[in-house]
Amino acid sequence: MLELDAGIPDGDIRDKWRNHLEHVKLVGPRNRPKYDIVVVGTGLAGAAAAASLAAQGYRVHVMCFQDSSRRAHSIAAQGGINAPKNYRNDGDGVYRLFYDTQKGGDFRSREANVWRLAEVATGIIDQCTAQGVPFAREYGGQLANRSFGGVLVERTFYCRGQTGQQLLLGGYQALHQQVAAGNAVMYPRTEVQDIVNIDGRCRGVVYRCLQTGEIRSLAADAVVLASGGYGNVFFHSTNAFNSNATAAWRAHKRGAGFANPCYVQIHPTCIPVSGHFQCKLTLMSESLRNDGRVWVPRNPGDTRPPHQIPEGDRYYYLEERYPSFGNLVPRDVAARNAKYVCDDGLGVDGKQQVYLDFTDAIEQRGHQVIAERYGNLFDMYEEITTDSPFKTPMRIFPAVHYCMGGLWVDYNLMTNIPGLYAIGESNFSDHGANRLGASSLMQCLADGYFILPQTINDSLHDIYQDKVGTDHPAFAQHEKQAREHIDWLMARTGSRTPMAIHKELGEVMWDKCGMARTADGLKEALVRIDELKDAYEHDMVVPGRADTTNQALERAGRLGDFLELGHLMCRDALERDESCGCHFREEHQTEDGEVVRNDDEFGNVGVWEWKDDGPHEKTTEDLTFDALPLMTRSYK
Amino acid sequence: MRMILHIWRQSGPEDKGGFQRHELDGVEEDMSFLEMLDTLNERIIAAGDDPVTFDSDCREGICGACSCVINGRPHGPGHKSTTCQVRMRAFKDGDEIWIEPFRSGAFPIVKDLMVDRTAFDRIIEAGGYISAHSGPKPEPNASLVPHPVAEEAMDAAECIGCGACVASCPNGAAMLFTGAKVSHLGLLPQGQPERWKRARTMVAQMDAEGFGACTNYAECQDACPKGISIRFIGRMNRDFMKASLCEPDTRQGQLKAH
Amino acid sequence: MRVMSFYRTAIGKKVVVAVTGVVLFLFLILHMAGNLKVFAGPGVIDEYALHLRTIMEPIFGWAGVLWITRAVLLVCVVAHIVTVFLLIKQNKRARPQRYRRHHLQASTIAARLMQASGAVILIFVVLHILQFTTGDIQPAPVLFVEEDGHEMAEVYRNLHAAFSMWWVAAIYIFVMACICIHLYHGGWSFLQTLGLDNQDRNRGFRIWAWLLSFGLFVGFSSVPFCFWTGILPAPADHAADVSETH
Repeated sequence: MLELDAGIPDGDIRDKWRNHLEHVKLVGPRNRPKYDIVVVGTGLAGAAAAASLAAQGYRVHVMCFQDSSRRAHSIAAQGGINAPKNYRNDGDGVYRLFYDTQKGGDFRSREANVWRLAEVATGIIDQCTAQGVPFAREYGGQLANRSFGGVLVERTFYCRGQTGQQLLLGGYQALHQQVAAGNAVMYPRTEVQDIVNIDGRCRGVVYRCLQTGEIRSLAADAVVLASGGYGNVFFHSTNAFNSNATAAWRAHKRGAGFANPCYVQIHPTCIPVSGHFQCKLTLMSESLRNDGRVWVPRNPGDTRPPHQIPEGDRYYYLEERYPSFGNLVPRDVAARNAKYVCDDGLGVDGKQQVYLDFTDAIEQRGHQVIAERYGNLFDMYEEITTDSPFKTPMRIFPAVHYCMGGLWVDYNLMTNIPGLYAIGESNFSDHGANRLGASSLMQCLADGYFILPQTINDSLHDIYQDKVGTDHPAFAQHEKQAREHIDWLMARTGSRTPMAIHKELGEVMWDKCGMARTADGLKEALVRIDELKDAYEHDMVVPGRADTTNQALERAGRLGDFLELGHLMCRDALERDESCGCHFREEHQTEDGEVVRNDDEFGNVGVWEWKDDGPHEKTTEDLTFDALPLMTRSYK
Repeated sequence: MRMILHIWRQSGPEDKGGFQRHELDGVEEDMSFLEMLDTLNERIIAAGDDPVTFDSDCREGICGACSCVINGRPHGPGHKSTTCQVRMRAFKDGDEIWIEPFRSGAFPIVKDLMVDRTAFDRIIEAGGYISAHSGPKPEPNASLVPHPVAEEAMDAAECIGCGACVASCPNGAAMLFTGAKVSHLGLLPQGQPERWKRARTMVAQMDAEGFGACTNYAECQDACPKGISIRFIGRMNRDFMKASLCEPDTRQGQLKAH
Repeated sequence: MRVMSFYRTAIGKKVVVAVTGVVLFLFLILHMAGNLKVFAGPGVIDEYALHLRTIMEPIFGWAGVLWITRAVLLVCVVAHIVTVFLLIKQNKRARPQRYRRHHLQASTIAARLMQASGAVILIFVVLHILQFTTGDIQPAPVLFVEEDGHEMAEVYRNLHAAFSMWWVAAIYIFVMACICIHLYHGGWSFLQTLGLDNQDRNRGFRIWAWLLSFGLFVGFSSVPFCFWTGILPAPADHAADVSETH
């Protein structure tokens, strides 16, 4: 059984964070250079944390598998970042953001964390502006806003359709300023293979240089995982081609609890799969739903081109079913409804796709305005499909996008292994069972700039006296295991490629553990995954050599983790016998297809513990709902 | 479709390298160029050979990882797109395609089509930032940025650091990359205190990395997947001249768009 | 010191090339204006040649200003060429391995031919000086006269003698075309290098560079062309000269 103490500070929810900061232990500036901290991943959370910690004076070692830290997949976030600045004077504020996030997450997130997130969010905009992020401005020179799904205020800040890119470059530049200053060291093209725990504390990592194949160790006083989500379990996702769960999963196998693995967000607006060769889905920003109207033909088998279908024969299903939020319902609701209409045979051309139509918006606002807002997205869409959204409606369908689940962390963002932290998408904490649009950038930067750099001191404070070096036998032993694992992979001489097995895993996960899940389906998936695991072990082929760049070997290593993780996701989905947010169990729904939660039994976080000699064990952390009492989510 | 591929194979930085010929059947029009290479690799692996190594990550044109030169053009045919955004419908059945890595003295080849672009990171390290500790900051609306200035800065900031500018330049110059960052930060009010120092140190680093000099071919602008304009090179030149010859460090830069 | 470290950078060198290029460009405009005086008659251009040597004579002496100008031009030419060589060296290093076939997209012919046109111009300038200034090479006889005890070339007469030969005129016109394309790229390029170009002005600058360089081409070429075709008359005592030299 895991011992989980979230360490939520006492007091009113509004005062918790402030009180906590007043009592966190500190490390003096002259002592900070004596600490080594490893940061794994250079997305928004990782870059922000590494830059902030290095600027404080810690010696920070930053690892990423890309050739440059600027390429982490946060860069692909399009729409924007939330902050309750209330510039529009439309009634926004910290409580509103808290309320929206908590409700949007369907009451499966930790209240104190969500409040803190809402509280520090305004500072992110200030911080990023100071770094030179060119947020969109109005003609008067003030910051501009747009609106996003699941909320009734305009609080989203943006840089055209490249908000994630600009925020990430801000963090990347700050990080590389520290590299130049000698406070941070970059390890590009590096993949963490294992973490090393000594006497109950995380003391470093074992990593592989992807260019030379060398296995090396790095001793540290704290390890921060900012390695992102595990959406690539599904093979087809909007994640980057190489996004993986390896660092987080190997940490899990060394004792870190994995929370709510079944919470996976399916994003409603992606370009549909077009062929068997496809290995990556492209997201179309949620901001499009500001102006786009979602519809399908009202009659099954209606194959007329969209502009020939009269208004009466169009089914604007979101507007009809959810009059107050309309096309701007949260992602899980929008995605699920797309599935419903397609399951009813209403999908465009009988396929799994629906229209996202801008005709009305172009008529009302003019071609120019729409082009300014979404021009680059439209271009991107046209490049892939050859259709121009200015002329014909986009065809979209949901796709795996974000993982709300992740490593369990306490209020300090530390996992249950002292000295091991998880931030950004790799932890579980703030989004419950569904994340609202423009909130992941917010969470990553909140964790990276404002929370972790202050809470990490708490566990560092009293350990610098007892430094552990890589000469400790535990490092040699972990390195040996990592080498053996690579050797084992290189010895696979079957007939199936890692990508082929991965593709099959993705199909199983999408069918059985995707937008709608059933107990039978999940049980079937568990069996199928075991079969795939068997194929992985006995019938996979890994080409080439291990002492040079070998992308197939990298893929094979990551696939092993995905198989285990996929298995755990199905188990978690099976045991969470309720529907909530993105986790939709068909057994638990209202007559019109809305989720039915079971707060008494599942108003908690499901945390899984790895067992070397048997199946995972589940522990729960109970959630409290003091600041915002439980209610049924309604966007009608 | 059937494609005849000539792919640059090079086992490491020291290897001489050369083209290897492959024929690939069953290429579909909707495939992206990289999916076509994936398909090829799947067959190479199945045949027991070493697959082609190439960089790619986001596969939606924003991370800047992919870096092939296709038929002599960085990122291949198509305007304002990256290799991952190129679709096979840009080619015809039976076409011969020559695939090479980005070539530049400052981008050593790692393996096959994969190059080392950390020189760009070092240019950023030399000054491509605005110093700002994380902590409470002034209210952003306290310093207003006119819409055209913000847009101009954003035009420059769109750079994805892919290196196509260097690859396309017959001189292997990195002026567009450096100019874009100098301009992005130099246009904004918060970038003014470090503006002149930044122009000096980034240009010096760019030379130290061994990039070439601009002869105003404007190939970079054409190859840039984000369509970044060479006017930012002009802007960098101006800032650099001022910074080097007029010593304006004691004066703050003036906020002005083109 | 600061200037030297500026020159050591690629941009510094580009600026030197641009600035020296501008000086040479301006010189060419003046040169052309002088040349066009042939159309005003034989006496006018010879008078102009004399005038060039007597400007500010009381201060700088005979041809003093001319020599100062020549010195400035020489410095510019040397700086221009040496710097270009240094840049070419740097650029070669930056791109040690070429593509199998580099598919150039955006660059103009003028830009791609900068080095070639520059080399042609350099060779031409040397020959041109040897021909008309010193008279060391004489495809047609070059005549000198005495003025105030100084020897100077007889401009109109020499021009006529040289350009009456079709191949001399043709070579000159060809070189003027090279200068034209060199200056088209250079004329726009220096504005870009000095950071004066931008989106709104670019089109105007391109047109400006084109007009100026084409104007120079027309202006310069008109002289050999008109002598060759006989539009410009032979000097009055032309027949006598010919009989003298034979």
